[in-house]
Amino acid sequence: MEWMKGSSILVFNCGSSSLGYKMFGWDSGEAAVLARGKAHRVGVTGAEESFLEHHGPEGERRQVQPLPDHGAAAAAALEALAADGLAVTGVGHRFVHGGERFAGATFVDDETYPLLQQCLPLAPIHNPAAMAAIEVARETVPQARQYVSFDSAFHATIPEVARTYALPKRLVERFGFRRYGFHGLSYEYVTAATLEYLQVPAAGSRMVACHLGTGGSSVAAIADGRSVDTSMGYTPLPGLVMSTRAGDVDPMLAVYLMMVQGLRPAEAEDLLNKRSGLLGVSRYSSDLRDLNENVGEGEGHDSSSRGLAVEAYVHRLRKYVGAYAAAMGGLDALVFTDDIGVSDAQVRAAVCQDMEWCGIHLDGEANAAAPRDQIARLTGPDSPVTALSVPTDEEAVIVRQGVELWRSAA
Amino acid sequence: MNLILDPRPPRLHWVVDEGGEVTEGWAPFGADELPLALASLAAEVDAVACVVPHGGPDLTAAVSPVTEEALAAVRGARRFDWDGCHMADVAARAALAGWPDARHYLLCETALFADMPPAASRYAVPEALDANGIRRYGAHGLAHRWVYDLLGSGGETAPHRLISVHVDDRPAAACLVDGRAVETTCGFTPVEGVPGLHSCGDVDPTIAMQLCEAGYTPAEVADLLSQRSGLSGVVGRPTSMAEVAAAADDGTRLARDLLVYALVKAVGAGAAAMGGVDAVVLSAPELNPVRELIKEVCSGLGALQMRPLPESLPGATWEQIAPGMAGLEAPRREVLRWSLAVAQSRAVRTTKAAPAA
Repeated sequence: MEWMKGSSILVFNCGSSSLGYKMFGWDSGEAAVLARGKAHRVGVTGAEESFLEHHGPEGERRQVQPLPDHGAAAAAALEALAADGLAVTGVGHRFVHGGERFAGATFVDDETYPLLQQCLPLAPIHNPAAMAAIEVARETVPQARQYVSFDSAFHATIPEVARTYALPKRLVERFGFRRYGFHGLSYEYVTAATLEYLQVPAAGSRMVACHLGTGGSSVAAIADGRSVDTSMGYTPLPGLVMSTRAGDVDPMLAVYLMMVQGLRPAEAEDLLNKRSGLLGVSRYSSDLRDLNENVGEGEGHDSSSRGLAVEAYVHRLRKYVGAYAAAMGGLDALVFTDDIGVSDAQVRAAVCQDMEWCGIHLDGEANAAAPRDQIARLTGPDSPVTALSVPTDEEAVIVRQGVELWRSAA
Repeated sequence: MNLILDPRPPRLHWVVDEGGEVTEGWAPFGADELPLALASLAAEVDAVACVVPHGGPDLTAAVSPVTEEALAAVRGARRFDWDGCHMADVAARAALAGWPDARHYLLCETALFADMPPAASRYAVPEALDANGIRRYGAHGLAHRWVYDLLGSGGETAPHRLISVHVDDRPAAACLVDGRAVETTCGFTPVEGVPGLHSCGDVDPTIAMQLCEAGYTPAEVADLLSQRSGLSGVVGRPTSMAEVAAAADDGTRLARDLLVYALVKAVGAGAAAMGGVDAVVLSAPELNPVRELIKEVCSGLGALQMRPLPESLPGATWEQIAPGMAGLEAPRREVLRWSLAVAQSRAVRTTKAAPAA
């Protein structure tokens, strides 16, 4: 990629309470990671301090500092890169929800900026965080051209039958209610990685990919290399049991909370998004790793609540795998990715247990031995469905989309 | 003579069985008009059963005698299904008053699901809500149980793992392992799950909150999601299951595609919940209007490998569509008569003393 020589793209990936970044350069003609890091505990108050973890050409450092919001975190990252003598010529951002307006990556310019502003309420936690990083980069590295990559874009191919809610037409037209889906950058990465690993063409392939994060989690049905359904919806709330999100609930429960319990809409939203999920069931932790470690320990009710939280998590995930296998008329590959997906062999084993009916025969030893930093096969050679653990790399997809934007603009 | 009262708000469906001669009809519902309507059905009855559409957390037996305690449980369940449970409470009391010497039963539609495993029944919400009865209750329990028992009749062995899908105005699936429910599409209310003729099925719950933020009252949102959405909402006008199944235009075609897709996914999810499936039976009050729709669902389930079911079932309208998959006519009156017969065979103690009004 000679034409990118001398260029560098910094990718910002805003989480709800973190900001990851990776800087790519093309000095040798090929993309190389020049620096990376993560701002931890962004906007979080408590006993532990916020800090920036930076890995650059000048070495690694852990910098404790106040990080009250994502703007401050982005500023800290840019400072660390400048201290390493790295010049930024382009900045890419993960923008979670692009609504109906954006079906692919786009430069941030006078035309798109106001449209991005309109998308802020669609993902009230993540989109404003990304916008804060855009603002800081605009001030700090004004020479760098910025662009956004959308988590929702990969799901733009979901057919009408899977994206349509059975709501009155006039409501759908007025509010734009439909299934959008998220974690698209991750799905794009693991789809390509899986097809390459299995040496199969996208056409005719059917896979279910499970993006199991420490915060949000989702499942996607991917046929012919394209998303055909996913568990998240109009917002990231529905679907799997997540760390603090309830996932699927009866829509009348939301009404009940407001009508019978007298909650305001924002309070009901807060309850279902921030006080439910694993935390709500276990009453102990929102982190599956804590619950897996502590199942069976503790006293009486607490112990069974932790076990129930894990069971409910696995049960919901299994149902989605079965539903999508049926919807696609069968399955060729089952993929586990993101932190929990690549590191929790216990969860993978529980999801794959008694799934021979749809062709999944887990190899227990291969599953237990799967490394978290490379693709690993979890099923034996006789399994009709190949299950894989595939580390994801959203930043690699964002930078790839950036390169395509620059190529198109040139 | 037996009488069955079946709340179908806004009217009351009734079935009279006089030694096998069955009549059915609809009565208006109102505190004043109901006793008169009931009195016109029969002067004397041996047994009266009243269907309770939602038992809530406290009415968990499939058959109960009509006691003050049972009726209090029905009234308690009005927070889940106000119209249906209110009608059941009023109708059961009117029947007690009208025929004090008859045997009186309550038949509970959600009881089949009362023992579902917690991982299936529990929502991932704070425990205080669960303790307040916010859990998944299921629906159509009488029809699912009828299907299961029919499959095990005539010397046959009922399927070990059965997915029973009942296709009426609010289609729903139940997963039964040896007759015990382990999963269902319906939730806290029958709105969750597969879209119905007027109910939205699974949608992002954020939508309810956003509509309230936009100025709708919670009661208006409840009405929108449970009465004005679903397949009729997609078509853009009131429709019927027969019209959706026929799919003669673009609107009804999308509605039919949504329904078929939701049912295929429900079966796949159910198979995963049970670790496989031995039979999938789709029943409907009338089979013919939805026969092609049922066939389409079955054709979408081609990946499931199951063993053939019996070619015929005694006395039933039944069509095996693929190995292990069948369509079955489940007339409401037959489901109810059978449910009452089961109640009587269990010799459930009934009360002849009318609870205080």
